[in-house]
Amino acid sequence: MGDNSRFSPFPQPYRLGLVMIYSRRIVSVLLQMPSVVQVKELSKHFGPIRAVDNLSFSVDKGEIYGFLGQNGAGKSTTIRMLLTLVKPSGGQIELLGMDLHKHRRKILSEVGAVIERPDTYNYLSGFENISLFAKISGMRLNRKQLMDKLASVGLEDREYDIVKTYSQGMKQRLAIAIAMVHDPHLIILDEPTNGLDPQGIAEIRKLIISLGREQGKTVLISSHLLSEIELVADRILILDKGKKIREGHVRDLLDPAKMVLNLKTQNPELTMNIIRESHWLANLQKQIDHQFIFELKRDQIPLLVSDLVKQGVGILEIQPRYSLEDYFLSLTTPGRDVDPFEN
Amino acid sequence: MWTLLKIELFKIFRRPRTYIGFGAITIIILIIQVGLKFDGESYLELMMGGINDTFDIPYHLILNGYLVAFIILNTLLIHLPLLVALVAGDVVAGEANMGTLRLIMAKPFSRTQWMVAKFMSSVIYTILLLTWMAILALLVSIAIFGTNDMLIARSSGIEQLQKADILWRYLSAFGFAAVALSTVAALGFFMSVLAENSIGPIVSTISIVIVLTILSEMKIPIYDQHVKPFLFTSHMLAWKGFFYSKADANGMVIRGSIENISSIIKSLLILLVYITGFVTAGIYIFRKKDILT
Repeated sequence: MGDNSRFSPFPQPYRLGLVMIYSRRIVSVLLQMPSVVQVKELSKHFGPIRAVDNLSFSVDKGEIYGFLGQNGAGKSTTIRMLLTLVKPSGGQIELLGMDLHKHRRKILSEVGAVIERPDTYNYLSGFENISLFAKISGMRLNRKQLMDKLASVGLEDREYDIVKTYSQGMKQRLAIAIAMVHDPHLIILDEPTNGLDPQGIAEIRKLIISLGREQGKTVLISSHLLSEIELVADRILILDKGKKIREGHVRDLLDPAKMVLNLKTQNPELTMNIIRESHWLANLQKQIDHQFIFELKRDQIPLLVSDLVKQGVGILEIQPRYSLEDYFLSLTTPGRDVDPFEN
Repeated sequence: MWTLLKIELFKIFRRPRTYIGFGAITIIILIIQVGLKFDGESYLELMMGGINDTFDIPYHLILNGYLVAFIILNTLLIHLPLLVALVAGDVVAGEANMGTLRLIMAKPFSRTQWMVAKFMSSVIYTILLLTWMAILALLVSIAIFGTNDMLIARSSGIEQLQKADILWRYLSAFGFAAVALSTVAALGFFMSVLAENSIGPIVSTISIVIVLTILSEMKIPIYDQHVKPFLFTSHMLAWKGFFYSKADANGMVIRGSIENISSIIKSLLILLVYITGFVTAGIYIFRKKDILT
């Protein structure tokens, strides 16, 4: 939009030149920048409730970064702070190498977002919506360019229908097209698969992967569905009650050598005593009655079983599992007794 | 800012509810005009009370387009704020309710710019509503009933305005009414910032206008001095002052004069203070607000 040009004393051709210089500057900043998103000690309190508590993380250029947590974990609040919708109680946010609160307009002109529900103006058509948001984002796109944007999310046949008549999946795709209309460097998608059917989820997943892998965009995606995130994200941050629980590459978190072992024994007291007095305590994540949950390497499983059997523990069931979902639940389910990863 | 304003106007005029006001005004004015066309003399006889027993009154001359427009304005300008509230109360809260507020606020412009564009769009809607009313009330009435001198009934007697001395008074009155209705738009805009659904601010705005109008009309001495001068509703009907002229020594109306211009200016300033207050407070609150919808 005319934010940069509006206050410019230069006539139109000079203004175009300045926009080009400015765009080059952003590109050059991006090329040099180690992190597109840099968050330090971010906090948000709503009265006594700490929605986000001293959160730090960074997202590298071209990365698809997954933001995970159960409902109320603080994902949406963090995303809203990244988009200046919510004012932080403390901490620092840098996007695209610039301080968010000092360079809000410059930064937001390079950010596209879908925040929770894909709400658009439901009394306008898809075409009118994308045209309106293109103008708000400072883009002067012609009809064909706007149609191409709609076609990129498969809405070219419904462009003149009012959004009220769209399915949830179509609304979601329209919202993504709107987020992408100004070709942003950073794309923030908050729960983008909410309310979609399996086919819709698959389409959105494909689109996100294409944004990151093929178009080189930096994508920050949040979800409470781990199965979704693990399929698209390069790195993951797990949030619980506003705090960072774990951050890392998906391949590390899903390291095949690491397993979640669900072990059921006949005599839990004896089992617990043995574990307490051994080095296995470091691997124990949780105990629920007869059930013991360990995180350990694959080759440690026979050693653990052997140790327990030797000391008279009756093994009822051994269930080795390998899933980020389990991992996530083990970290964020209330009442967990042992958390070897807690910061 | 211009882009934002154009977008806001586009959004307002693509919503069906926007046209409720235009439709309601059209229907009411046409009903009044048809009624006066076919039974206007009876209406005037009723209004004149016992005067027609003493004087031979040429009703066909009195019942002209200017008088009909005056009757319509007297009837409608009290109710027009309710129609303005329908749009102004929805202007920010409607976005929050629809879920588009968070989408818009994540775009590269300042909240103040957006709020100013929002308020300006409400004012433009208000002016267009008033213009539509002016066209129907004045131009259509003139087309149907023709023009002549206009009689204005006042507590001190009946005042006769010459035909050539009327049109500017109407234009001034509509200008004043635009400011008066913009005060209601500013109130609706302010209420809209405080809520996250449209119904609350619309109903609150209408309720406040009704309550304050009742207070402004009540004839209780203690209110006259200490309450009424500070209510914006007390000043909204000051447009009538444009139709009250000064009289010369012979009691004849002085052409082009206004009896109490300072009172009109005072009312205008008070309304502008209210508008500034509501808009500034609305913007200040909105700038501080966390967008959680």
